[in-house]
Amino acid sequence: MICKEAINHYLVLDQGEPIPRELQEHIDNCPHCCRLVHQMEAAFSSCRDSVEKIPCPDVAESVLKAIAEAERLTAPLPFRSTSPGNWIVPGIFLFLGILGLPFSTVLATLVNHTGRSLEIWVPLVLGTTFTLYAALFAGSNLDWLRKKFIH
Amino acid sequence: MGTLSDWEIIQEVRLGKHSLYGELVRRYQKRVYALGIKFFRNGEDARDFTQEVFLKAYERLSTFKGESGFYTWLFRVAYYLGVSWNRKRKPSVSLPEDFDIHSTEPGPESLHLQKKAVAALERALEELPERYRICLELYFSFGMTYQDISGITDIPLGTVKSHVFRAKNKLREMLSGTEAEGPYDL
Repeated sequence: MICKEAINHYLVLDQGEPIPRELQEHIDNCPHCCRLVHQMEAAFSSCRDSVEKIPCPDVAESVLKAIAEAERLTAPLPFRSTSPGNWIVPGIFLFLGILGLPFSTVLATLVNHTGRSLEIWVPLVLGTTFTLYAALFAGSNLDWLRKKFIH
Repeated sequence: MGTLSDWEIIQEVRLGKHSLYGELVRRYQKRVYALGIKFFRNGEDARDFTQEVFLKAYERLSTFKGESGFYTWLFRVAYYLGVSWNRKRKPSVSLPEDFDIHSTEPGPESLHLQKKAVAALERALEELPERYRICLELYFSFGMTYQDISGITDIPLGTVKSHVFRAKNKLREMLSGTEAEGPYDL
């Protein structure tokens, strides 16, 4: 292997790639190539060392603070539950309204204007509404209901 | 905590132990900061850059699949952020004369080689656009392999190899210049 060939071969080697045996033999037996390889290795090492020696500020704390702040801003707002009293009073009014409907003239007037099928649909819709209301109330106040009726 | 691997820390952070991310920051902040210095050539921007890189990496942590090392993945985030910041910001200025990049004084031989290496690299870098310049920095200053550099920068492997080869050749020319009668130059 001639020097030019050897050095070209050396120059294409990647980081940490082992030097092939034939090339290593040439380097070991050629003082010029040996010196050049030694100098180049020292120069590469100097480049890496210069990076290692750059004094760096500690940014870990500020990064963690920024992450905490970003998460606080993007976190969903805490669920504000409505007190049981605020559910019960409108619920009672809703229930009384439904109960009182057959005794009022409103339903009779509506039936006269739109037809008898309304006599079926109005109680169904109102009954469903009240059931949904009761379900929402129970779901939002499970702890309160447990304390009130189980213990 | 020091014994946890990068991947283990990432898994823990994903499970909600956000404070463990600080350990990853401490592991790599020095190198990211050094990359910032290479990009912006001033400490203030490099510091902001380092913070931003780790914040971006945190946001994208769910996309890290562990196919490459965390260090390589982090440098990919850093590289693209650096390129994007440099496009938006004013042109970088040179490091001031008194900017201390060495915590310890190197010996005269080491200093001589360091100067030669830096000069050779600078000559090689002068001809290159920024993205290729950083590619050489990744090789010489950060000890990354051709494959890693190509993965980080999306520059084809062959192009990375040829730029690095040219830079090495410049360094060889400079080192051989002191002994012009060496067989390589005949």
